Amino acid sequence: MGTVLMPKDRNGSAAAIVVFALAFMGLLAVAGLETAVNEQRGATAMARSAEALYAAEAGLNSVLGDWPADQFVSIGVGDSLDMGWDTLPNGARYRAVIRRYDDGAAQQMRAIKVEAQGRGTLGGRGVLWVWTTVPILHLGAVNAGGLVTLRGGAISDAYDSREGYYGAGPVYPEGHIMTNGSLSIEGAGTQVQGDAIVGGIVVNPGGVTGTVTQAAAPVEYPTMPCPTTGYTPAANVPTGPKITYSEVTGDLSVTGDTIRLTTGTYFFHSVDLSGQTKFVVPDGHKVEIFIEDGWTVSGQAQINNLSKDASNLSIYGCGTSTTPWSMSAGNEGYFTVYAPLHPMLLSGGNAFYGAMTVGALDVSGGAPYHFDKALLAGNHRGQIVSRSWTQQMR
Amino acid sequence: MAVVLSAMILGAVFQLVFAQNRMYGHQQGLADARQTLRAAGSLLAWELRHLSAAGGDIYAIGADSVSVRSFDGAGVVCRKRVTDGKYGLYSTTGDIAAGDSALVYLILSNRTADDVWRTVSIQQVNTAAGFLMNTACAIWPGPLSIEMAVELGISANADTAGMRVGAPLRTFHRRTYRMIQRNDKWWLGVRQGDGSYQLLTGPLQAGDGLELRYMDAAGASTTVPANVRAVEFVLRSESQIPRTPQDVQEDSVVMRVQLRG
Repeated sequence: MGTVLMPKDRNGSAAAIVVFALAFMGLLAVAGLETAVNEQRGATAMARSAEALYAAEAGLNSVLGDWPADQFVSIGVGDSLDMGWDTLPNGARYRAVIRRYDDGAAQQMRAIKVEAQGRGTLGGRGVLWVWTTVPILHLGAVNAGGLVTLRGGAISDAYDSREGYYGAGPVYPEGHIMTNGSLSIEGAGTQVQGDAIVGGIVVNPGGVTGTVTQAAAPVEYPTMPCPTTGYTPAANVPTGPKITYSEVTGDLSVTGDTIRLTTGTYFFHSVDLSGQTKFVVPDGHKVEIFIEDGWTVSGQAQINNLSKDASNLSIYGCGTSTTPWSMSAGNEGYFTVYAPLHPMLLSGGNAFYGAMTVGALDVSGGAPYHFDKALLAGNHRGQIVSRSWTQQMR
Repeated sequence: MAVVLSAMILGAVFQLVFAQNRMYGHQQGLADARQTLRAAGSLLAWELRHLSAAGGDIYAIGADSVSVRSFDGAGVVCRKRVTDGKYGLYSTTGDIAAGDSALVYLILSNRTADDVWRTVSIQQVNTAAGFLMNTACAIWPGPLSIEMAVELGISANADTAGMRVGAPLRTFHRRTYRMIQRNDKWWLGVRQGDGSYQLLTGPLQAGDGLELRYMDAAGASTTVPANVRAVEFVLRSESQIPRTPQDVQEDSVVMRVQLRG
C-alpha cells in the first residue's frame, strides 16, 4: 500500500498568494502610473506646442503692429533685420527676423520669420513664416482719392533722378494721374503726358497723351499712422526770431525766417510757412515730416531740398484729419506728399518734382509737375500686406 | 475555519486584482482614445491654419470631409533663366519635388490690385550639379548660393510674366480628409489628388467620429468654400483594442481653427 504524503503544515500558502497578488497589483499600479505619465506628457506637449505657436503669433503681430517703424523700412535689398529674443509675460519667448527679398525695382517683398519657444526647458517650439509685400506709396505723379483738376497750362511728365536731374536725363511720358474720382483738364496747354486711370470720368480726355481708363476699380490708399512718441521736442526744432513752435500743441509757424531741418523724423500738429520763409533741408540729409492736421505754404515761402532728390523730403499727413492743405511755394520743390485724406491746392507756377498722394488735387497755377520714377523703387513707409502664412514643421 | 477565512481573504484579494486590472485596461483605453484625438486634432488644425479661403485654398467642404490645397514646401526665387523656364530657389523649406504643383507670386504692375498667385507645375528639381546650381543668387549682396533649381512647366508667357527675383514659391497638393473604414473600424484618412485614401489615425467612432462646421467672417455658418474664415471640427475617438466590447473607451474634442493664410 502506497503512502500518501500529506503536507504536514499548509500555514503560509494564503500569505504567499496574497504577497503574489500584491506584487501583481503593484506592477499594475506602476504600469498605470506609467500610462498616466505618458498621457500627461502627451497632453503637455500639445499644450506647449500651442503655447509656442501663440508666442510666435504674438511676435508676428508685434512686428506688423509696429509697421512702418524706421528699422523695418530701412532694410536694404537682400538685407535682414534680427529683432532678437523677446520674452512674453508668461515666460514664452520669440525672435523675429525680417528679410527683404525683392529686386529693388518694384514692390518690396519681405519674409518675416518668427521663431518661438514655450516657457521652461521643455517648452514647445514653433516657427512661422509670413510673406509680405509693401505696396508702393506713389504709383504715379498724382494719386488721389477724389477729384483732380489741372489747369492754367499745367503739365505732368516723368524723369528718373537716378539718371540725373530733370532734363539732364530722359524725360518720360509717364506722368500718370491715378484717382478714384474724376480728372478735369482745363485751359490751353494743360496736358497729362502719361496715362489717366480714373474711377470717374476724364473731362477733356484729349489732354491725355497716354491711355485713358475711366470707371477704374478704386485703389485703397491706407492712412498713415502718426508717430506714437508725441510731437517733436522743442529742442529738436531750430529756433529763430520768426519761428514759433510749441512742443505741447505741435504747431510750427515760420513767418519770414529760415528754418533748417536735418536728418530725422519730425512730428507736428500743423505747419504754416509764410512771408518768404525758407524751409531748408541741407544736401545729404533725409527728412520725414508727419503732420497731424494742417500744412500751409504761402507768401512766396520756399521749400529748398538742396539735394534735389525728392526721396529726401517726405511729408506725411497722418491720423484722421481731413483739413485741406495748400501750397503756393515761391520756388521749385523736390519732395513727396503722402496725405490720402487731405485735399491739396497747388497754386503758383513753380515746378514740382516728386509725387503726391492726396485726397484730392487742384493745380491752379499751371505749374509743371514732374514725377520722379526713382520713387517706385526706393524704400518707403507703405503699409505691409501679408500674402501667405506658413507654420514650419519642427 | 482557517480554510474559510483564507478563501475569503483570497477572494477579496483576487477581486481587488481584477478590479485594478480592469481599471488599468480602462486607463489604457482612454489614453489610446485621447492620443487619437491629439494626433488627429493637431494634424487637421495644422492643415487648416494655412488656408486662405479667399485665395482658393479650399476646394470642397462637407460635414464629414474637407478638400484643401495642402502646402508642402516653399522657397524664394533668387535667379531666373526665363529662356528655358529654369529658376534658382533660396531659403527652401519642406518638400519640393518634380511633379508638384506650385503657386508663385506674380507682380504684374506697380498696382497691388493685379498681383496674383499663379499655379505652375514643377517639371524637374535639381539640388546637385547641373542647371543653375553652384551659382550665386542674383542681385542680393553676400555669398548666397542657390539651394535648389527647378524647371517650371510653362504653357504661356503669362504663367511667369511678373515673376520677379524675390517671388515666393509654394508647392502644394490637393488633399481630402475624411473618415475611412478599415477592418470594421473607422479612421481618419487622407487622399492626395484622386488617389486612394490612406489611414492616418484612429479609430474614430462610427458615424459621427468626424464632424466639420464652417464659419464665415461674421461667425455665421457657411457652405461656400471661398467664404470660410474658421473651421470647427469635432473628433470622437474610441480605444483600439478593447478587452471586451463593453470595455471600449470613448472621448471627444472640439477644436476651432481660424484660417491664417
